[in-house]
Amino acid sequence: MPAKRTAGRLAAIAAGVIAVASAAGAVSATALALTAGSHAARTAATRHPCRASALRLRLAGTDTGAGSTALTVTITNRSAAACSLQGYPALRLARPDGSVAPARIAAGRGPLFAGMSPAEVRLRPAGQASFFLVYRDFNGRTGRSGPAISALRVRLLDVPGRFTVPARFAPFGALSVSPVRPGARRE
Amino acid sequence: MTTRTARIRRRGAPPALIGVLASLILLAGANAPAPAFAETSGFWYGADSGAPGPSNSNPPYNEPSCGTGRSYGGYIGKIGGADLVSSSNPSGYGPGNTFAWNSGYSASADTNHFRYGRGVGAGGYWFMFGPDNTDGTNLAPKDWGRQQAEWALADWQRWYGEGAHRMPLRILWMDVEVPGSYGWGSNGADNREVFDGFWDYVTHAHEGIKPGVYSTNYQWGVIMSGHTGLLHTWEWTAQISVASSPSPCPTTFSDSRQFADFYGGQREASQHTAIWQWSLGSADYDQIDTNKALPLTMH
Repeated sequence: MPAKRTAGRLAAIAAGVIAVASAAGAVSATALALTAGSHAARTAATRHPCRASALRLRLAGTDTGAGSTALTVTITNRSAAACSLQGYPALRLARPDGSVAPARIAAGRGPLFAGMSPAEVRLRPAGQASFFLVYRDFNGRTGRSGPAISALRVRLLDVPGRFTVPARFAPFGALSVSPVRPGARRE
Repeated sequence: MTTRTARIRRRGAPPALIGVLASLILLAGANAPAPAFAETSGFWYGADSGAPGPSNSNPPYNEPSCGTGRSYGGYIGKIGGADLVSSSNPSGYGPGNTFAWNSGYSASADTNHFRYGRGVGAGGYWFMFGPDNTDGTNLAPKDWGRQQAEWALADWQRWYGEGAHRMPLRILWMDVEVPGSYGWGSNGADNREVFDGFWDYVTHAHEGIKPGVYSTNYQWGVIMSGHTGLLHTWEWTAQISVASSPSPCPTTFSDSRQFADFYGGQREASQHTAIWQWSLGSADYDQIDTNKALPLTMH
């Protein structure tokens, strides 16, 4: 990764967190998907959206530092045909008992997310894409983590069905999310 | 001033003399520098990990919060971590591999420290794994702590590069957080062994770097259950007593509105309580107490 680009990206993740909190009214992941979806509908005819059965999603890993974490999910095209993805993932956080935990999830803003427009991402066979979340690890007043989460439930634009990605974490407060982007780089 | 005036009256001084003295006192007060900034009393504002950076682009650099004119008084980034260890990054090196290290902010803090004598410059932390996740090494707890310290010191020296990037705040912080995750199981004795192994290795490496720990009072107590004592270790706390976004920005570790919640038997005024992290919005800021005998270097 070029050093200059890396510096900019590294500079940005907390700024992205700032943006989550400062954005007037964090929007739900569903709303994000719907917003991006209207754009997707206009262009879907010219794309070849991936089939759910063609995709595998998995947790690539986490990177934690002084109270904040970046969590990256990779998407792999397992089919023999190229296809495309686009937009922000719609996310829900699942508790260990399977219920959905309330969460504020917003599109990431700031330097880390600069240049990450919800543009089309083409996936060749065995090609990979990814998205990432940024969240706080605990409440600064109590020192305690947030509610235990055991999985991410993910919907991707124009891809029927829902994916479940096992991921144990305990975020506190708002989360910011990137759009689907090319490559499997872990933040 | 009220007390002083009252004392003069008790001695029976003439009203005219009282007026002159009062005027002199007021005049002296008007000419004295306003003690508005925390750094005037040795508390520097800083930042860590991914943000924030300075508010201006030319030195000396300023902190982007708590009013205007405050110096960018320090930066502490992730020099490495057990969560970054892989076959392609065997020592878990941070710079270039994590969002939590920013070379530009590090350089800005160093410029303020070395060129202008402001703040503590750059420092680094290592993200710790507990005994239940040894990155495949299967080391015993204390040996696992030593191994992480060895990597962390190697990462520190790699970044330092024989002076290419200076790190004047010479505390290598162990980032210990999230009970039940990152290898921190419920065995407080084993968890403490990992900490002790790291502490011993850094201390006996004789590289002029002291061990420290970043955590919260709550999480430290849970992770190190029954083994929490920390009387001779530098502390950086991320816990505040009353709110996550104090306003106005604090000027000490403790005032009538809130206090930094340290741990392991230390309190705000203890010898080794060095830094308090707090948040404004969702950005992390730090306050660094240079009234303590921090291991700082000017070279």
